[in-house]
Amino acid sequence: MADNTNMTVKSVEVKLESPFSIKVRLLWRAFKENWNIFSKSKIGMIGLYIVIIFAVAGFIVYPILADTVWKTTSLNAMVSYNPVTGYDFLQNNPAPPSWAHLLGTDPLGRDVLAQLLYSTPREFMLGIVAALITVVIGTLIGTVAAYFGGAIDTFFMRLADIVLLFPFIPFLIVISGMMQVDLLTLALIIGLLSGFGGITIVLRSQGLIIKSRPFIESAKVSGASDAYIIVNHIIPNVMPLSFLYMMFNVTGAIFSEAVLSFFGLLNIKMSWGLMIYTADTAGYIIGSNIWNYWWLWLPSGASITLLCGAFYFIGRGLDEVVNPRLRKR
Amino acid sequence: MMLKYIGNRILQIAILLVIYVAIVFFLLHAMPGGIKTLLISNPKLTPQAQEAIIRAFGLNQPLWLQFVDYMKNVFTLNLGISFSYYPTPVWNIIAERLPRTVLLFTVATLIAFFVGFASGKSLAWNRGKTTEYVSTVVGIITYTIFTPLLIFVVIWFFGSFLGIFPLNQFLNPDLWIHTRLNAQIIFLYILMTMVIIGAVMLASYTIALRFSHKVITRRMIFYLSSIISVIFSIFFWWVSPVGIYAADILWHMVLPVMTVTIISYAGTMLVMRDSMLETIKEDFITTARAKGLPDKVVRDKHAARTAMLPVVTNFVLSLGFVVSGGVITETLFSWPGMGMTLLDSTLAKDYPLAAGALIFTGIFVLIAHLVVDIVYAFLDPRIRY
Amino acid sequence: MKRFLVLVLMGIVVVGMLAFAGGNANYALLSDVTSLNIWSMLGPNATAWNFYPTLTKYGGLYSMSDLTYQVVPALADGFWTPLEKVTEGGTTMYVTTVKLLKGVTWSDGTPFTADDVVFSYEVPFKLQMPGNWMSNLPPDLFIKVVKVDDYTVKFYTTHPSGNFIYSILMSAIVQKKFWEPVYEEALKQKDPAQYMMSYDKDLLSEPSIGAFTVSQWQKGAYLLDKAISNYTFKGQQEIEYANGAVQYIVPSLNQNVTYYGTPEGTVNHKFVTGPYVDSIVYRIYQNQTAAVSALLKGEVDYILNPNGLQKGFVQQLQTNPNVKITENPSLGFQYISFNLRRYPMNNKAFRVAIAYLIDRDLLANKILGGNTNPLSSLVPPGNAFWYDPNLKAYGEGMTTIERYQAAIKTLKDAGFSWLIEPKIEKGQLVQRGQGLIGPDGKLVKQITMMAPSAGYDPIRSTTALWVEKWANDVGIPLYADLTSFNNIVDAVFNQNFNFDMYILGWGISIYPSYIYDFFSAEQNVPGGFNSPGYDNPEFEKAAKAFLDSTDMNVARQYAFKAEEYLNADVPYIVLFAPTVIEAYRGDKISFAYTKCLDGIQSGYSGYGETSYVKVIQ
Repeated sequence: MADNTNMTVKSVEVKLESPFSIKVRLLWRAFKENWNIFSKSKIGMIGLYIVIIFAVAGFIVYPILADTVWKTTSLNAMVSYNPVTGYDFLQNNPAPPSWAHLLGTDPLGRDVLAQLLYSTPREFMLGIVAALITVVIGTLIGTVAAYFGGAIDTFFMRLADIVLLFPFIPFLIVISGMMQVDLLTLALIIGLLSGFGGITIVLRSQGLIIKSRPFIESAKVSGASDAYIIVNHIIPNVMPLSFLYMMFNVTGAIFSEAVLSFFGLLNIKMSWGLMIYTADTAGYIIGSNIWNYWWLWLPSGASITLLCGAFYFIGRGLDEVVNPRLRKR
Repeated sequence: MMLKYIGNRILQIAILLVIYVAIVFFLLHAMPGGIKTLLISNPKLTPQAQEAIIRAFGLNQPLWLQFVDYMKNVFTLNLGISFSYYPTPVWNIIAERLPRTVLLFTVATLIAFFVGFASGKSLAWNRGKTTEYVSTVVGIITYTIFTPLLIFVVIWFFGSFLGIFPLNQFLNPDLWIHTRLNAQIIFLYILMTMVIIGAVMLASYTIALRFSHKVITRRMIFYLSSIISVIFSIFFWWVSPVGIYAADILWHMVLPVMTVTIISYAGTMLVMRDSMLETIKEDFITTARAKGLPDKVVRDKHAARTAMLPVVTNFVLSLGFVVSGGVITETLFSWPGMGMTLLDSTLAKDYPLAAGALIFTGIFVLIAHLVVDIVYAFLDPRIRY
Repeated sequence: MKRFLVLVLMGIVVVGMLAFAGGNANYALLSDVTSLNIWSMLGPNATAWNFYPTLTKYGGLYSMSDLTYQVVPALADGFWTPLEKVTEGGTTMYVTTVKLLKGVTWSDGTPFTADDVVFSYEVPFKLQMPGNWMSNLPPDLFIKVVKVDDYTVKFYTTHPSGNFIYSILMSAIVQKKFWEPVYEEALKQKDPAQYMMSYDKDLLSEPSIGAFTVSQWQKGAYLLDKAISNYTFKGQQEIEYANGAVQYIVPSLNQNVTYYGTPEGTVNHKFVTGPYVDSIVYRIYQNQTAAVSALLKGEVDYILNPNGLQKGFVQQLQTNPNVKITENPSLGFQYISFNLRRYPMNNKAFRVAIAYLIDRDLLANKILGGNTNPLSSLVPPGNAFWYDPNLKAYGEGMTTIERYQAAIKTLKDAGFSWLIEPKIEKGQLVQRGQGLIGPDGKLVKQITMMAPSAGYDPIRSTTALWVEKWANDVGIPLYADLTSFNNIVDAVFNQNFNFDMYILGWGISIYPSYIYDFFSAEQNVPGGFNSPGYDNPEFEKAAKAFLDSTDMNVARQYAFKAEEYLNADVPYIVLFAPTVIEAYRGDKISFAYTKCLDGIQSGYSGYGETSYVKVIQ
C-alpha cells in the first residue's frame, strides 16, 4: 500500500515536472486508447460520420457552391448567393428539384439546398456554443461541489433538482416570446439553463469517485492548492464524462432551436426549423401536398433529425468509453 | 411513519413550488421593458383596467413586496386577468384546459412507459443480436426525430391517407350538439375513473403484500381486483347515458396518444436497457443463472426488478419532458390544452396567461413527482421512511 | 377498442340520420372564441373569431347594402333628418331625428323600441367602454340620444361629421330588457364597465334581433348558431339596380322602399334574406392545416379566416373538385412609413427616391407569385365610391433600370451625392452606389427599416429585403431589420416613434376616415396614429373638410384632394392590398355571391353570408 502511494506521488511529480511534450504524448495516448474503444462502437462511428458529412457540407461545400453554381441565379451577380433573399422568380414556385435547384425551391423561390447548407454552420455554432457553456458550468460546479462538499454541495444539488423540474421547452417558448432571441442568445440561454441542471449531479458523483482516489490525497499532502487539484487532477478525470454530456447537449440545443423556429418565435432569418415553418404556414404540409412537395420539409426535417441523432449516437458511443459496464461481455 | 414521510415530501414539494414561482416571477419581471410597460402599453385595456391590474399586481410597490403579493395570489389561485381573454381570470382558462392535457398525457405517458419498459427489458437480454441493433437504432430515431416531422407523417398516414382516425378536434360536434353536456365534465369523469382504478390497484397490491407471502396468491389478488375494477368502470360507462361522449373523446385521443408513445417510449427503453445491462453483470444475477434458473425467470424476476429504479426515476423526469413536448403535439393535433395555451398566450404577449400556464405546467410536474414518490414508498421495500 | 368502435359507429349512425333531416352548415374557425359578451367583444376582445358567430345577433340603425356598400336603413325607418343647429343651456349642438321600424321583434317576442336604442347608446358612452365602443361613439362628437316616443329618437352631436353616419348610426343595438338588470348591478360596482364586460351568465339566452342566435358553446370545440324562426327580415328582398338604386321589400312589415334613385332599369343583383339553414356549427380548429384538412374531408363547408388561405393550401384544395376557391382583394393595405421627424427621411426627395425604387408590380406578381395585389393608394379600387382613379404613384409603369435612373436623378437634384456614384450603362447597373452624402455634405448614416420577420409574414419580409436591395443598389444605406411584429408596434406606437422606417399593415373601413387619422396633426402625439409625423396645414384643411361633410359627394371631393397631398409628399408608400383567398364546399353549400371586397368572411357580407347560405340537399 505504501509502495503504491509512493509510486503515485512519483508519477505525479514526474507529470508535474515533465515538459509540455510529454504531457501531450500522454494525452495522445489516452486519446488513442479511448478512440480504440469508441471506434468499436458502430453507433458512435455512424454518428461521427454523419457529423463530419454535415460539417464538410456546411463549412466547405456551401461557400464554394454559393460562389459558383448559385451565383448565376442570383439577381445581383456582384455578391455571392444569399438563400435568405435569393429569389428565382423565373418559374412557378415552389419548384421541384431540377439541375438549377438540386432540391427545388421554397414557396418564395429560394433554393432549398442553399438554405439547408447555409443553415448548417449556424446549427453547429448554436449546438456547440450551448453545449460548451453547459459543460464548462456543469464541470466547474460538479467538481467544486464534489471536492468541497458541505454547503456549496447542498446548494448546487438542490439547484440542480429545481432546474431538472423545469419544463424546458415551455420556458424557452415564453422567454423567446417575451424578448428578442437570436441564435447566440438562444445558445446562451440553453447553455445556462442546462448547465445548472442534471449534468452537475452526474459530474459531482463522478468527481466524488475521483476525489476518493489516493493520488488526490497525495497531491494534497504535497501541498497543492485546492484550485490546482481541481483543475489538474479532478477535471481531467471527469472530462470524458463531460464530453459525453456535451454531445447530448448539442442534440438538445439543436432540437430546441428547431422547435422554437418551427413556431416562428426566434428572431432569425434562416434555419432548418424556419424552413419547415415556411412550408407549413404556406400550406404545403397537408394531405397529398406532403408528398407532392416533399422537398420543402423532408430535407430540413431529416437534417434536424440526422444531426440531432448523430450527436446522440456519438454520445452513446462515448458512453461505452466512459462506462465500461456497457461494453460487450 | 408513512404519513410523516408523505408529509415531508409534500412540504419539500411546496418549497420547490415557491422557488419555482419565484423564478418565473423574477424572470418575467426582468424582461426588457418589464411587465409594467407591457401592461400599460396594451391597447386592449382601458385606463381603469390598467389601474386595476397595476393595483392587483401591486406594480407600484417595491419588487420584493410585489413578489410576496404575487406569491399570495398564486396560492389562492388568483393568477390575474388574461389580456387576450380580457377580462376572464387566468385561472378560469386554465381550469378549462388542464383536464384535457392531463388526460391526454397521463394516458400517453403510461402507455409509452410500459412499451419502453418491456422493449428495454428484452433489448438488454438480446445484447449483441441483430434485433438489438435494429430496435436500438429505430428507438433512437423515433427518440431524436424532429417531433413535428413525425406528426406530419402520422396525420397524413392515419388521418388523410387511411382516413380511419378523426383529426383536428377533441370531439365530434355532430354528436355533441344534441346534448347540453359540458365536455369538461366528461374529461373530469374519465380522469376520476382512472384515479379510482389506480387507487384500487395500489390498494390491492398493498393488501396482497400483507395477506400472503406466496407470489401466486399475491398476483391473483392484484390482477383479479384490477380486472374487476376495470370491468366495473367500463360497465358503469356503458350503461351511463354519457358513455358515448366519453367514447367520442377517447376515440379522438387515439392519434395523439399514439404519437406521444412513439416519441417517448424510446427514452424509457434505452434507460431500461442500460440499467438492465448493469444489473446483469451484478453477482446475484450470475448466481441466479448459475443456479440454472430459466432465462425468462432471471430476466423478469431478478434483473428487471432491480433495474426498475433508474427507469422509474427516468419516467418521472420524462413527465416534465412530456408536458413540454405537449406544446408541439397539442398545437399540431389541434388539442386545446395547456401546451397550446402556453404557445398562444406567448405569441399574443398575454403575460399573465403565459405565466399562469408555465406555473401550472410546473405544478403538474411537481405533483407527478409527489405521486410517484408516494407510489414508490409503497412499492419499494428498500425505501425506509 | 372494439367497444369504442361500436359506440362511435352508433354515434355516426345517429348523426347521419340527423344530418339528413335538416339543413346544417358547418363553418370552421381558426382560433378560439374568447367571449360571447357584446360589451367585451366590441371592447377589448374585438377579434374576428368572436365576431363571426355572435355579431349576427345584434342590430344597427343603419347598415350597408351588399356589394355596393351604400348606407341604408336597417332598424331605422328611412333616413335621418338633416342636422339642425340647436342651443341648449349655452352649448351648441347638432340634432337629428331618426324614426324606427315598427313591428320588429327580438327572438323572445319582445318588440324593438326606442328604449333599446337609447339603452344601447347610453351604457357604453356613460361607462366609457373602450375599443369599438369608443370609436363608434367618439366622445368629441357624440353627446346623447333622447327618446321622443316609442319609435322616434333624437341624436345630439357636437358638430356635423361623416363619422356621425358611419360610426354613431351604425353602432350595435342590444336588448334593454335583458341587459338592464345587469347594468343596474354594474352601477353598484367599483368598475361598472369591467363588470359589464366580464358578465358571462346565461348569455346563451340573450335574445337576438338577427337571423341567428348562439345556442351552444362547447369551449375549445364548437359553437352552435340556431336560426331564429320569427326573424323579422326573413324573406326580405334586396334589389340593386344598375342606376345605383337599392330597393328593399320586407314582407313581414309590408314595406317596400327604394333608396338612391328609382327602382327601374337593369337589375344587377337580387338577394333574398334567409336564414335558409336550421343551424350553423362553428367548429374551432387551432390552425389552418387542421381546418383545411377538415374542408377536404367534408367535415366543414367553409373556412372563416380574415387573412385568407396561403398558396399551398389552395393548391391542395384544388385537388378536390368539390371545393370552390374564391379570390378577393382585402380591405386593408400594407405600407412603408417614413419617420419625418428624422433626417434624411424628412427630405421629400429622399422619400420620393425610395418611392421610385419600389416596383410593386414586380414584387406582387413575379417575386411574391401573385399572392398579393399591388396597391398604390390609400383607398383600394374595390371601394368604388371612394377610390380616386386619377391618382398616380411615382414610377408607375417604369422598368427597374428606369426606376434606378429616376431615383438617382431625384437624389442628385436635391443635392445628394455619393463617394462612389451608381453607374448605369446599356440598361445595366454596372456600379452600385456607395457612401451617400446628404445635401449638408455629410455621409448619410445607416437607416433601419423594421419589417415583420418571414415567420410572421413572408410577403412583408420579402418586400423589406427587396427594398433594401434596391436602395443599396443606388447607394442608400438602408438596412432591413426583420423583427417581431410586436417589436415594431412597440417601437412605433409605444416608444414615442422610435424608428426610421417600418413596414406594417392596416385593416381599413369603407368610409375612409383613416385618411385623416393617419396623417393629422391631432394624431401626431405619442401613441397616435400619425406615425410618420406628417404635418401639412393644407392637407389638414382638406382632410378636416372631408371628415366634417355629411354629404358624401362633397366629402369625396375633399378626400381626393387630401389624398393628392399625401401622394405627392409620400409619408407612406402604400404597397399592397393582400388577397383574401377563401374556399368552400360547392357540393354542400351555396352563397348568394362570392365576389366582394374583403371576401365572404367580411362583416360587410354578414360574416360568411349567414343569412344567405343554403345547404344543398
